[in-house]
Amino acid sequence: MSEFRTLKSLEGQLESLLERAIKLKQPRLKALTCLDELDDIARTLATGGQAADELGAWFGRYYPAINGATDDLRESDLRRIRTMMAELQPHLIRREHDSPAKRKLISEVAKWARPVVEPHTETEPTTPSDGRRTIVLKRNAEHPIASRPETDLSPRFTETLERVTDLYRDLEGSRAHLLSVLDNALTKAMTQKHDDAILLAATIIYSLRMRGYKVEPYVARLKRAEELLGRPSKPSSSADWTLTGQPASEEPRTVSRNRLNAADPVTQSRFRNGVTEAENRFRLDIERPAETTVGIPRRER
Amino acid sequence: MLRPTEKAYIRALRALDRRDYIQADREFDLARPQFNDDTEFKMLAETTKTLLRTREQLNTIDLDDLEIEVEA
Repeated sequence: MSEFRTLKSLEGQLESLLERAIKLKQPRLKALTCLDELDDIARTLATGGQAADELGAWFGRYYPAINGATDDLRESDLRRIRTMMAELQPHLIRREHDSPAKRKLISEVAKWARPVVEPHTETEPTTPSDGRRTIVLKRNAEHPIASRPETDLSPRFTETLERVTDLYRDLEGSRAHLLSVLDNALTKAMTQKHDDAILLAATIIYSLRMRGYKVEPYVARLKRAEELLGRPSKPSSSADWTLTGQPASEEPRTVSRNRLNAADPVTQSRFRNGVTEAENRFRLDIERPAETTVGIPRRER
Repeated sequence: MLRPTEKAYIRALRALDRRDYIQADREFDLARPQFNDDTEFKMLAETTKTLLRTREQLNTIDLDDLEIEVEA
């Protein structure tokens, strides 16, 4: 009887765990279902099947979500939708006797299948008389190291990769945890002004960020190491590469140095009290969230 | 288009949502090659498998051997 009760209790707890987990994932599940259904439609059309009605119904169900009326879809989901639309577009053939609904559907797919200008590019509203916009691509001033012939870059990059790999193995030693290696790399970068250690730290930070870990404190240390090396990042761009893992539209959780400006009442108050800029920087540094948050995966939106 | 493993993961989540744990377990197995390193995937897939094994174990207990207790 005791074994039966134990197993029954375990069954109940496992069911409860799965139910709560899936309840938490409901918004994500909705987005994934949206992608999965569109993928099914694209596959049907690609194999010569008829799925225009299903596609119309799909637009009907998810039109608010794909047009940003809800927060269900991430930017990466929208990119995949655009890719799938581009894949299914050639299979939607326009005919003379198409109904207005089908014509509308084809034009909607064409709209979604159009490539989107990436945020790295700058658009200037030059709008000539024909109403078209001109896209201007800008790049930063070249670093002296880039003035070498392009043909040298590939072998030099390979050498760098090998050196960074060797450094990783050295720092790894008996420590199995990646965060310990990152900590050592950042310490080395700051104390020895070590180029490869900065590269290694940046690679680990990016890798952690891609797996959903919070990396803000490490990014701050990396930036300090870069500054020590004499390569300060531009103040205007520092907020862009803080690798917070949050969309640009969201309010960053850490205090940005860029917010120190004369119009800011907090800043005014601090300067009135005789606090220097250096002291302010120190204060902002210690106001950052505790490092204990590092290593906790980002929650699903 | 989505990869077969991605579609399997989505089907597994939908099966969990319907509380169809047998189907979810099958789909998790199909998705495993791509997502085996994903913590969330492992948690969901292993919990589902453990639940099914627990149920199997429960089915092997001979009900005739059970003593029925009546609580006052």
